[in-house]
Amino acid sequence: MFAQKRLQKELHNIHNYLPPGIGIASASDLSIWKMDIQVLDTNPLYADQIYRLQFKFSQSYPIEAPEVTFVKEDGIEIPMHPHIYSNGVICLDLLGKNWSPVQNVESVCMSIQSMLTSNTKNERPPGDDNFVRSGYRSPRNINFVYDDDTV
Amino acid sequence: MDVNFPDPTDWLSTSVPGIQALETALSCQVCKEFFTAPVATSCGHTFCSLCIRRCLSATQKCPTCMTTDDESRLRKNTLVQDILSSFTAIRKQMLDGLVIKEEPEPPITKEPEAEKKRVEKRSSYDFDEEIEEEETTNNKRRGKRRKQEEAPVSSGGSSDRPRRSTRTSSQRTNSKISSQTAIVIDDSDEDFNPNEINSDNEFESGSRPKRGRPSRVPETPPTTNLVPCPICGRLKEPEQIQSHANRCIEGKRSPSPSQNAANAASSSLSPLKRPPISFSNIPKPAATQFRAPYTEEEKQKLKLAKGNFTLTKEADIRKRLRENGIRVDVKGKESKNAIWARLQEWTNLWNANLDSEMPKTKQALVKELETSERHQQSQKPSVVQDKEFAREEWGKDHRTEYENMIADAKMRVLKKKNEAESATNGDKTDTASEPPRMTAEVNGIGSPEIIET
Ligand SMILES: [Zn+2]
Ligand SMILES: [Zn+2]
Ligand SMILES: [Zn+2]
Repeated sequence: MFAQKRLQKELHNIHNYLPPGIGIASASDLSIWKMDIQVLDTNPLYADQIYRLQFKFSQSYPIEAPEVTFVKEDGIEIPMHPHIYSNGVICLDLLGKNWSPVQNVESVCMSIQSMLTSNTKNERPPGDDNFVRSGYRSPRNINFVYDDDTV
Repeated sequence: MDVNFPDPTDWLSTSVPGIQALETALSCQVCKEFFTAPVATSCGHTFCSLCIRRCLSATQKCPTCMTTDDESRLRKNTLVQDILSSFTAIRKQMLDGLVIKEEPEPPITKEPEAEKKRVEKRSSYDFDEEIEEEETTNNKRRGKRRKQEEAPVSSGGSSDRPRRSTRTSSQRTNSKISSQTAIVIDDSDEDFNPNEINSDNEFESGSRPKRGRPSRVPETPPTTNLVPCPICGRLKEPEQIQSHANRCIEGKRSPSPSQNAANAASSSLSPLKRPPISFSNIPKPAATQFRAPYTEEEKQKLKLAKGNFTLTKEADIRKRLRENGIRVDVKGKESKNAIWARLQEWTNLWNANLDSEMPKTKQALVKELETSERHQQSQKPSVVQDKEFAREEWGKDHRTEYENMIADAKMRVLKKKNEAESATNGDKTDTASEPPRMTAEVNGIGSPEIIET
């Protein structure tokens, strides 16, 4: 119930204002939202591209972090990034051990947007092939090793 | 469901936008609502009693600063409670009084004057805010320093100019004169929907006339629309209002500075603004749901300990739940995890209720736990089927409302895009003549606006 209330409020606010480069693509109900993000500078890796994030909320949101992944849809790709697997799973501590209930959809989108903005490496995380083949979809079940602190 | 969300951003379209910061400070950063039974952590951050208890159950950290903390160190924040009570009692009154009235659609003959007035307002924006001004469809939330009441910097003799295109170009001229970057006034809102800017000023009582597009707010009456108590002005659930008001009338609630303040504030309201003290239209609560506030002594005695999962026997969990009249399935049907989670939530509800100014009765609390569990079919995201089921169930009642909200959100995105286009199209400022581009923009986002410096 508290998740529902909080999400309604967020949706209401999102619909009044979103930072530049962030948009709402869909929120067919209160448990899955899709948000579009765009990198605003001229970073050649992401120029003129729109990426789509999928937020899955549990009934314990915001106590529990939402499950956030990039999704591939018609004409929308998974952005190239050393912390983003090619199946869309994002390796971001904010969404795992550093999650705090004061975060919200907007702040998560902004963090991911800036994660892209600051990246210069045109590569996937090490072991991407294996990871994708193993079929992990939920970032929560993965123990990410933050072996690369340049990003 | 309450669809009218009071929000700190409501103040941005008033003559005292700074109240936003005050209201934000009085809001819990976990639930983003006004505090309910505020308590302070040992690091000095304040949250609703229930919110912080739930957070600390999950991780023993303050959500704001991540400092390790423990439930036992939480202390009631009486001052915040008192300020909040006074504030909420006068919120609607202040909002009504301070909201910048929309100018009526001016008759054609008076247009130049009305136009001038608008330009003066516009030109007094802080130019260093212009990027935000330009990039946001609705700048009220972040345009912190919008100073509508100030004297104009320069109106550029715009009073004789024809309508919209000149207004924009005169703005540009002004900004160039002031050796700033180009400013494009984000005023296409006015053409798109003249009511938009004030449309989220609706107060949670829902008594404010809705001025936005009708589709923005679902027509179906929300089932839990809050009703102001005619005595103290506090907003309450309809089913609670009767008993709450009775208590107020009988003066059974322990007197506190906040209540005196609240009463004083509401008594200054015009009697016309108060609803009649008749609740025939409000569903009667099944039973009395509230009790007198707990004394410190009672609180210490009644506070439930959290316990330790591994050290607590499954049978003891069941026993403790049953003792409190909480549903437990026959042994074996529910996992230890499931019943432990229920006991934890019960403990949180119970302990937070001890902090409340208007504590609920135990029966009411048990009922609350059951209701919230009905919505919580699954805690485990990995159990996809349960989740889908819960989602379905959840979405059902609110579908129409959501469809409306989403349609509107998409519309905004589309508008943003259109504005971005008109902004980069130089002198072509008439957004109204630009046919909205379909699908791609609906799902997309506004293109980045490049500001020349
Ligand atoms: Zn709260
Ligand atoms: Zn703290
Ligand atoms: Zn009252």
